[in-house]
Amino acid sequence: MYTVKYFVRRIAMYVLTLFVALAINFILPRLIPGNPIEAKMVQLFRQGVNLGGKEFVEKYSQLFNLDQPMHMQFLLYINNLLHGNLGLSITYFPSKVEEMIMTAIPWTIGLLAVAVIISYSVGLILGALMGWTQRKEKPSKWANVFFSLFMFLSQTPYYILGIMLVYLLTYLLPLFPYGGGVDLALIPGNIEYIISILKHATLPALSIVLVQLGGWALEARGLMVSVLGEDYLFLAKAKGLRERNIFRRYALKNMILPSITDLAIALGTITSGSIITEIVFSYPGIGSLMYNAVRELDYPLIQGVTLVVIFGVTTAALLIDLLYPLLDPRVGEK
Amino acid sequence: MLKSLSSTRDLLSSILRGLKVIRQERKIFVGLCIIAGIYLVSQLVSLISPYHPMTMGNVAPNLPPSWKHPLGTDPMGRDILTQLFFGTVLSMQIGFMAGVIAFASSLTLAMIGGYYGGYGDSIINVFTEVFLTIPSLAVLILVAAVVGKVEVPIMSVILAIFSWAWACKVFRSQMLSLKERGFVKLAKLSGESGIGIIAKEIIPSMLPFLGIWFAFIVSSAMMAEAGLELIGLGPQHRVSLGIILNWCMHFNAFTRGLVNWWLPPCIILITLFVSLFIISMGLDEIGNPRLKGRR
Repeated sequence: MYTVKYFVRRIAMYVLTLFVALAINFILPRLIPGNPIEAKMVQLFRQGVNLGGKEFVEKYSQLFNLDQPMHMQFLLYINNLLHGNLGLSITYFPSKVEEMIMTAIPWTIGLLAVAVIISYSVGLILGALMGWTQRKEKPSKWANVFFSLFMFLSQTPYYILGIMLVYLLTYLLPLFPYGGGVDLALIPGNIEYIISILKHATLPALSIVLVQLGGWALEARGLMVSVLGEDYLFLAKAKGLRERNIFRRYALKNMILPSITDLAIALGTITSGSIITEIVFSYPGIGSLMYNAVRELDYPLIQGVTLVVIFGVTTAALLIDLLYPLLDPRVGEK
Repeated sequence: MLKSLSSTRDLLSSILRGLKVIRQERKIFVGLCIIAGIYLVSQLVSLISPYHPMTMGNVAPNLPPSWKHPLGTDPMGRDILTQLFFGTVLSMQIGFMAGVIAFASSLTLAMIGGYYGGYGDSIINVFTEVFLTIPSLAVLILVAAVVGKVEVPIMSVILAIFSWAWACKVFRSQMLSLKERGFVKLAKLSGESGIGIIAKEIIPSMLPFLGIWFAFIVSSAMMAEAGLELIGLGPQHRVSLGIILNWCMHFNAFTRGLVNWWLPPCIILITLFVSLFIISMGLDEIGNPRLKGRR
């Protein structure tokens, strides 16, 4: 169990991190000279879109309290956030930013959660087997081949692997659809709709799974090699247990625990982990929302998305740090 | 006089020893050669290239690969091979610059904070933790979007701001453990100043370790750089590998199967990342000689 001091310290860090993130999020868009809303209006006007000109700017400036002094703006900003009010999108006026985020977030979380769990379990087993072969004097050739393959994969950025998969599986061998999250012509609810969702998610998920697989496998291999010299494995062998049982019951069990923290961290970064992958596949999640917001200079939307991502990641990190000492009593004692 | 002569000789001999180690460690040698080779070739070719990477309409657009244009031309009438060489140079420069800035600042903060302790150290520590938790890519996108048309040095600084934290945390903890070792205490007793101990005793004893982290920082800065450029953020009016990929995405090069266009930048990026990784593996073996047989 951890002490009160650890608990208080961790919570204080959490609040401070959120505050810094909020401040960055608040200050950055205000560093641009001029009124961002006016600038956007001018840009839209040139494209032939007229949202109402001056009144709109005034109404909007009032909505975001841009006519107030800076410190008041910051306090009002925080007050709005506490009420779950992220403002209105400029490009998709008058959609609420929080509603746009709520429609995007299930896509991202669904994609990432499945991808992370698949890559973790498969990577762990493959890496553990690779490490297991190292106990012999002459490790098999296959272990080396896989080692190089995983090294290559772990050093490949998601987006590049995504690009290659798009080329291979939508152009050369058109098995999967490209772009979007589901075939929009289908009616939600029936089995066809679900199949379409799965088909659209396969390629982005695969690109994430393959890259993470490399990282997990290398880590698991390292952990397995580090338990190979332990006495309990020697004892198990001396007792005459079968290799397979030693692997499963003694080696595997002992190497898994340290990797669980990393799994938790990977799950924690779920909202931010696939931004670029989503953009490459134009998948309708948080990443694509952010991309469109950046392209359209839709500052309330950019700020909203950044905020949600930061909030998700910091909160997940907090939960991991508070829960892990319960799993492993050695942590948090000092 | 005599003292300075002997210390120069010491320095020379330690550099020679370092070079010998690098030549003996095949991984470091191979990795460095690949990276240097890619950079030198790109730099040289971009100096003598007959085409300009950005000026549109110099050559006919959408040409397939030919002798005149080995990788063809893009829809805006530019030679793709020329872009590739210019882009490689710029991408490596930005990544390397960002790496140097992040590495130098994290090392300075960690060494001074870790050695002297006190309030300064607490503040550094808190900031490290904050930057570790904030998802850097999301904030990078926000920063790049706000800054708009970034120049190359600013791009490097932005990338550096979001890549120093991990290294700083690791360096600091290393410092805290080294501080208690005998050789550091001995140096302190012999009247060496704090900065002197850091520069002469502590940093030399963690050189391979520092090298690993330098490679790691450069690699992650380049990965973030290419990612930002892929989605259209970053330097404008210049060409880099990520920007080439951004154009490919814009013109649907992947789904149209224009392999001559999108594949070469991908291959160069992956080669650079893998080389940096191989170098850090080699450095790891110098640091922990036990690993050598294992791999």
